[in-house]
Amino acid sequence: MTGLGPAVPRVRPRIGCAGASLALALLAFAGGALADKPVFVHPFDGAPIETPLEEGEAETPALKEFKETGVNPYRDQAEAVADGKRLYEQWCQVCHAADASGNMGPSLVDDKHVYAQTATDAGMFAIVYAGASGAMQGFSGRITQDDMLKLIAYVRSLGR
Amino acid sequence: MTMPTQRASSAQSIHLPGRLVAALALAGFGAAAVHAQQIPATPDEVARPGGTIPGAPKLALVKIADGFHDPVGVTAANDGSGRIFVVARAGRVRLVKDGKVQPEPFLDLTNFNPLGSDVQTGFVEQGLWSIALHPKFKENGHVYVHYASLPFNGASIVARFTVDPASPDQITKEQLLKSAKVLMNIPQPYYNHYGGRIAFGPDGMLYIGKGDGGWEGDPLNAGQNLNVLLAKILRIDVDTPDDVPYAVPKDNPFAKADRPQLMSLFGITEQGFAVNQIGSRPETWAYGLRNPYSFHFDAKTGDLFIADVGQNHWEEIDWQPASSKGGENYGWKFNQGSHCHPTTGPGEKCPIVGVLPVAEYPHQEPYPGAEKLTDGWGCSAQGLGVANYAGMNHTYLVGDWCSGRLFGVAWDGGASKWQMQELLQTNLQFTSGTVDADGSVLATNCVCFYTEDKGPTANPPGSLWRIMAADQVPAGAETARTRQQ
Repeated sequence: MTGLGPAVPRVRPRIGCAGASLALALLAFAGGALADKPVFVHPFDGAPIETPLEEGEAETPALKEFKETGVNPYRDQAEAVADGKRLYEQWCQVCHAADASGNMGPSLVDDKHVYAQTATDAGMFAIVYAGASGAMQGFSGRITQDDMLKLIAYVRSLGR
Repeated sequence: MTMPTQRASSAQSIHLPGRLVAALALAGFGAAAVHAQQIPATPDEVARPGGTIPGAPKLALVKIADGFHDPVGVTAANDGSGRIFVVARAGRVRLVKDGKVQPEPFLDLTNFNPLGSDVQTGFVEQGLWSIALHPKFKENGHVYVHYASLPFNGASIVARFTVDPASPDQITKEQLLKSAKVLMNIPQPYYNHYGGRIAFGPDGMLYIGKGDGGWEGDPLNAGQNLNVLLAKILRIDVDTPDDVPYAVPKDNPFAKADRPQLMSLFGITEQGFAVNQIGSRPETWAYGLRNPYSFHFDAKTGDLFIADVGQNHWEEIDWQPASSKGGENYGWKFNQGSHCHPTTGPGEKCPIVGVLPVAEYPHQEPYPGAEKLTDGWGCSAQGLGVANYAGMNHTYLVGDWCSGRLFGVAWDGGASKWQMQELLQTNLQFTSGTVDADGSVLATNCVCFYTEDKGPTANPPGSLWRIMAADQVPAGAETARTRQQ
């Protein structure tokens, strides 16, 4: 093994938060308590990722709120979580396992993340949208961003 | 069934073909120094990620071309034209010429049959995998392909087509039908583990990577069964009259196994009986392989590397020197890498069958119940090519299909052991590679993972890349997103 772990958090706070510690920002994102416009970044290099809508794709109220605040409104919403479960079973389960503990792909629960930014909804959204490495290719253009939020809401429901 | 044997191979006999001796002398190398490599004798000598390859540079992947439908194979022209042939899984070969993808495919197996495509692509491991150019392609125009046949219920077809000199960049439908010569039709029991790559060796013979036929756990025991063509590297002579599909090279390890002979029971040693391999398929070059989707020769030495795709826990890289006389048993399904199959983890005990790999890397879970790794793992080894540039010497580059990692495998003469080093991690799903005419290693990627596959022309497109030293990347070139180790 190379021994290199996911050492560097890769979710960047907005520039206005530069004075605050990164750790604090991460905690805030993870808890969803801080209404802060998220900056989406790639887990490899922290480079910003633009997330334009596909042609004909609607910006739902939930997505609009998420992009303004970093808070996923679908968390704990039964109907959305059920939709997320359906999406997860279709797209994610084979690699990440039914309980999201990891199979061919890494764990998405219990803080055993390959990429630290997975801990926040904004960080996970960036990976689902733009991909990470190898088989984890971006899902932009394949599922809607609104569905990505539902998917994330379902994954979060597993990690409890 | 070949019985498990404890074969600890160490110092390999040095028997260099004359052409290699001459080449090495010209290169100023002493044969003894170059061929100091030894096949690991024990599992602890098998290289794993975490090693350091002397001289390994910081690398980058520069995009050559994109827009390919599920590119799963690539070959460089050997005629001085600089052309690159990219294999699209659906059954087409796209031509990259002067850096541009030509509008018409070089070869199209999807439309010559009036009943539809000739290529079975229902599962992601099916399709057209590989194209190889005859060593005398410039003179005879012969190209060879390996694909899963739709009319033959998924059987592996190895076929030859011939380029019309008047149309060097496209084999038309008419030319395809006129020139077609089928060499092999290997029935396929299941829809996975086909193998795929075919390539000519430095000896002019065609080598074919053939998987164990699928499902999991090799239910047919194909790996150790010398009577079937599955789970092997095959070696055939294609230079035969048109009405003879191929010939078995006389120096294949089991070339004479099937010859009629008188039975002798007395006065024969047990060793004498043991070499009797009646019924063995004479096309066999090496066996005990699970799914050798890719393999590559070192253009400098003639050595052969094989990337054998593993099952649940380990990927293995095998090596044989140019002096090999064939017949290596790489252990499947008794072993996976240097481990038992099925593996149970630390403390497991089983014989090492045949020849150990020179390198191996784990999946996220190296054995059932193991703590999941957060780094250094993968799921499917795709050999890309042997690098002899940018500080790399005889270094086999291996890309992983799942994790996007790029590993190097090389003999470390100073430390007298094999090394495996993760050179970088990419966002790419590696599928194949080759060595370009300039010596650099090319790679392809798809967006076609098992769970995401929507069909060979419906998946997001893949690309063709050149692996080069990071400090040599031309200004303005598009590079793959990478994470350096």
